[in-house]
Amino acid sequence: MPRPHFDRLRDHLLQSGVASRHVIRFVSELSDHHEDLEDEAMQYGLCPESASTQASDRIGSDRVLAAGMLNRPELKCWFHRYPRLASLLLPVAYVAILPLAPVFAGITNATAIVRWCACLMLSAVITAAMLLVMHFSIALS
Amino acid sequence: MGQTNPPFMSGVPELLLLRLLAQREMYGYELVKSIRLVTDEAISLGEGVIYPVLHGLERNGALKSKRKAVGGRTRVYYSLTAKGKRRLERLQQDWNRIQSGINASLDAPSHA
Repeated sequence: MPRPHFDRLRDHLLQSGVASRHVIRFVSELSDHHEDLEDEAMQYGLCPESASTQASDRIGSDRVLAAGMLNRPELKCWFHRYPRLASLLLPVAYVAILPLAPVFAGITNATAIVRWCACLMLSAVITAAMLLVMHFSIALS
Repeated sequence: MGQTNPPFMSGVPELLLLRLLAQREMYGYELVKSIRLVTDEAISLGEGVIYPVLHGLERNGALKSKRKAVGGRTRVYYSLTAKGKRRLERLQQDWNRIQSGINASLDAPSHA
């Protein structure tokens, strides 16, 4: 479980355009590394709190850790590496997939749509039944 | 413990990581410990800083990674690729050239 310290780092890296697969793995590796450092410190007799503090010091500050990732353009998402190409291609891609938006919306909300359809059919059946009753009552009167 | 990351150290972490991974696959914490051991603590990296270097090397095809469950934890093990071996050879040659140059300049009689 990543510590809150690394959660902030993760958010900062994602907002700065580092590819999510690198960010997720980086945070997971840092978290494991931190645990290893804590274990090592406790083997030398430190209490858990001191071990955690020492581990954080050894692993480096958020600023240093973030700089290590941000200084490597190859770890960024393609649209952060090639912003001009992205500004050209992304609008075209969005327009191309726009007609498919209702389909995707339907797939993601399939349960709600089925429920709505069932309710509509039920209300249609009830209305038809009421009309039939009215029809027969008029016919028989 | 040595001082960390002076600007002159640029490129050294990459060389050390490739050299160690040429011997066997390792994960981050193991690599940091090995660097401290083989350099006799003369070079001490900010420990979290090796991961961007590892990710960058992997992105460039010099390393490959795989996850392994060890002792209840999932470790990311890195190993060298053929491209990584070529890169290591080139970096070693560069380093040897720089080292020879610096040694020559230090051995030269002072003109001051």
